[in-house]
This record gives sequence, C-alpha cells and structure tokens, in this order.
Amino acid sequence: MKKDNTQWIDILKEKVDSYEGEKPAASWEDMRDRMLAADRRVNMRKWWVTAAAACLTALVAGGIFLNQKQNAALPEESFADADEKIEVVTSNQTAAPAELLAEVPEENAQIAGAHSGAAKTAGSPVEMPSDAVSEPSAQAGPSDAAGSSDSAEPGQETDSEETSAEDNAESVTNDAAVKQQGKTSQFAFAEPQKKQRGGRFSIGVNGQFGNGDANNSKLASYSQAPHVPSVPKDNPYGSLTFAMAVARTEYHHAAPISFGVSFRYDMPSGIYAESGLRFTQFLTTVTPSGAKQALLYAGVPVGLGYNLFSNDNIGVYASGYYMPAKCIAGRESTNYPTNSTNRNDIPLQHSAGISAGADYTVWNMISIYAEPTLSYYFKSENAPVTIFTENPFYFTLNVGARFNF
Amino acid sequence: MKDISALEKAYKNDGAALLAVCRRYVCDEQTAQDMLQDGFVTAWCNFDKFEDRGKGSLKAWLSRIMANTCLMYLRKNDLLKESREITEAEYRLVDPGGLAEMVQKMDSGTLHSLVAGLPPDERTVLNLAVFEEFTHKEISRMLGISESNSATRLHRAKKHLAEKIEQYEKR
Repeated sequence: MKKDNTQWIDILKEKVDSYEGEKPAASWEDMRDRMLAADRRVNMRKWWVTAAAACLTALVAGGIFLNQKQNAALPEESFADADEKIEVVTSNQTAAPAELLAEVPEENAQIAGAHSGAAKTAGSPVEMPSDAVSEPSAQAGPSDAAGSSDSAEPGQETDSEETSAEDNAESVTNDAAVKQQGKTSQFAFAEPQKKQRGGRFSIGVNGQFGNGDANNSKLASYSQAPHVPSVPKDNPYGSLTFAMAVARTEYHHAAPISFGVSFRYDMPSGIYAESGLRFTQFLTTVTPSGAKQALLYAGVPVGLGYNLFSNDNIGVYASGYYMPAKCIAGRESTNYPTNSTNRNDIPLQHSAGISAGADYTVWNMISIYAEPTLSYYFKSENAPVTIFTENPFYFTLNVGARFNF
Repeated sequence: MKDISALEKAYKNDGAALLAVCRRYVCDEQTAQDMLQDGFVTAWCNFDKFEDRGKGSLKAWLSRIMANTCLMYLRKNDLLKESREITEAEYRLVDPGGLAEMVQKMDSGTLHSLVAGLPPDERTVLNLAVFEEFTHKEISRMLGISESNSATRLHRAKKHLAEKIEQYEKR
C-alpha cells in the first residue's frame, strides 16, 4: 500500500495526522457520567443474561432430574409400599383373586369381581379405610393366599363375624388392584384420573414481562442519519465549517408490552407443538425533544418443546421457537428524528428463542404457567429503532393460563 | 482493574485529535461528537482488554476504537455503498506534478476538511488505506467489498482529493 502512495499523499498523511481541531463539546464530567451509566447498563445486562441462563438451566436440569427420579423410583416404591402396608402378597397376583373368588360364595364373588373390575378400569372414587385393607391381610400372612381365603370360608363361625368373606374378598381384590397400580392402599382409588399430557390440546392466554432501557444514549448517532448534510461537490472547502455541537439526542425505550393467545398440542412421545398469536407494543421517547414513537407488532410464534417432567399437577418443559412479526400499527410525533416510514415498508421482525417453563394445574382443566425466555431478535434493513434493535438478546418472563382439553 | 483516570487524561489531552479522527470518517460535526462519545464508552467497557505498551499506546488504541465506531455507524446507515461506477476516462493516474507543493503550502485544517468532504465510500477507503495503513485485503474484509473494488475506490478518492486541492489553490 505504501509504495502506491505518491509524494503528495505522504505529505497529506503527515499533515492530517498532526491536525487537532476543536476540543470535544462534552466536558469530561459528562463523558464520565455517560461511561459509568453504560458500564452499569452492561453489568445489568450481564446479570439479566446470567439470571436467564441460570433459570433455564435450573428448570431444564430440574425437569430431567425429576423425570429420571420418577422413572427409576416408581416400580421400587410401589412394591416397597405394598410390602410394608399390605401384608398380603400373593406369589401370583393375577391368580390370587381368581383362587379366592373360587372359594367365596357366588354372590360375594360377584360383588368382589365388580369392585375389582371397577378398580382396574376407571378407578372409581372409593376411599378405602386403611384398617379395612391391612388388618385382614396381616392375619392371613404374607405368602399364604389361601390363608386369607380360609377366613372367608362360608359357614365358618368366628368371633369376628364382621370380617366376612365378602370383606376379605373385597380387600384382597382391591389390594391386588392397588399393587397393579403401584399405589398405597389408603388412597388407591381416591382421585379421579386426570387427563394425560399425551394427546392433550391446550389453549392459553399469556403476557410477557421484560425490562426497558431507561437511558439509551448509544442510539443517539442513529438519529442523525437522515440529517447528515450533503456537501456540494463544487465546494472546495468540503465540510470545513462544522456546526457547533448541540445537545445530544437520547432514546428511552419503555419495556415492551406483550400479550397473546397460544395453542399447544402435546404428543404422547412427550414432544409438543405450539403456535399462537402475539401482540407486542413498543414505546420510544426521545430527549430532549420529547418526540415519541409507538409501534404495535403482531407475530405468529411457532415452536417445539419437550415435557421434561410431569405428574398430576406440575409439569416442567423446555422449548424453542421462531416468530416472524409484522408491524400492524404505529404512530410517531412529527419531530421524531427518523423519517416516517410507510407501515407496509417496515420489514418483518424475526426472532427466535429458547425457554424453559413450569405449569401447575390449579383446577381440573386450568393450569397456570411461567416461562423464562431468552430471545434473539434478528436485525433487518430499514427497521425502525426499538428496544430490540439495540438489545438483540432479550430476557422475558412469559406467564399465562392454559385450558386443557 | 479499570482506571478511569487514564481515560480522563486521554480525553483531556488527546480528545481533539481523536475527534479529528472521527471527523475524517463522518463529515457531520454532531455525528463526529457522538462517535467520540460512543468510542469512549466502548473503550471504557472494554478497558480491561487494553494492553499498555508504553507512551502513545492508549492514544493509538483509542484511535482504532474511534475508527471502528465510525465504520459501524457508516455500515449501519448504509453509507458505504459505492456512490457510482468509475469510468474508463476517470481511471487514469492522477498527475502528481505540483500537488506535493500545493499540499505542503496548505494548512492541516483545510486538508482535513477536504478529506472529510469526500463521498463516504471513497473517504472510508482513503482513511483506512492511507491513514490507518490497512492493506486492500484487510479493507475488503472490513467493508465486505472485493480487493479490486477497494483499490478502485482508493484511486477515485485520490483523484477527487487532488481535484479539490487544485480547485482550492486556484481560488
């Protein structure tokens, strides 16, 4: 490069390099305040991102841990509980009720069979007193199914007449059903079965909460873009006469307000698909002029997620999404420092993000949820200045309610 | 550990020179002031990356930050697009005869203003090639243009600048 330079260029470089024009307009005190404010902003952003990452990691890790724990512990737990609380353990669970039924009177067997069938199917809400189940079992011994049937033999007069064959048959058949369901005896049939997540369809309403940027001076230079004075080509002085510095323009972004509806379908494999419609409103104020810009975007998020853990009431899940959003309404003051753009010319705002969430079933079909979400907003040509053009990474807390069908 | 006093000293002593760097890239005074402030904010946020290599190293580091800040501004505002295609007639060597003497006689402020008055695409390449001493390969990477395009822009910038200098001397 150097060898291409002619002599006049070398002289030019030397002279221009040594040139020092006017001093900066801003005093050092102003500059220092601006630097420290930016430092705080950067630190705050780091904290937000760290908090978001911690939340997401904790939720995902917690979900995986609970899921593994549930999967690993369920069979052992159920048998352990059955051994402790139900002393009647037959060597052949499926054969035991049949043997017993063969020895009980026909009418009692019918009753027992009816209970057993009901237990195996829907789980009727019949609460079994624990003593009614465990006491006869304890008398019978742990491995002697016939023992229990002895006490139920018809015609045998005992002092415990109330522990009739009907009771025994009922308790044994119920115990067998309890063991099959892997539950303790006390509340074996106490709760109705809730709708499983697999094959479930949900409609949700939600809102998002994020942080605004109260004093964003970094964007100040953008405001000057349309106002860069063009130097006439025949002006030999170029831009020799610089304008005196004026007050610095600052953008203040309020926290965006977001709300919408979502539709979610949970597949039996644990994967779920989610979509919906989300509206987001941006409000930007410019100081010192006080000019304002308000924009309303409508977006259609499309996402896939996975249920990490779920039981009757609580579910933990993680998901990713992509959302194109279109500006559907907007207005700005006449003195807003960018040229007014036709709404139809504003490009789509594309974003993608990851989230981890937890929901809690508050009543039957209704659940509430919270989803910490970390989003990235892609930059677009000619996009109006919003908080997302300045902070492409944005952390929000998405909360709402779902109606599960 | 961040030392704000070092930046205070640089701002007070070298602020004018750093502002001149910004003016070389953006011709608007207000924008140049904004670039200086943004540059200092960037410098402060990344001050832990600065390696003190003796006298003048902080000023050189800050100059590079100012140049980068201005480049980002020009890129974001789409001011680096080629203003027009160069014609064959224009693509002839600038006659340096007498130019060196003219430049020698002119004061540095005027020369600085003439450079700042060039079209943004030419001015940027001239700044990077002549004042920052980047190669065309490096410039092509920084601006997302081809090496030949960088060379063309530089040639055109020199020609325009020479014309401006001659015009200034004739008046």
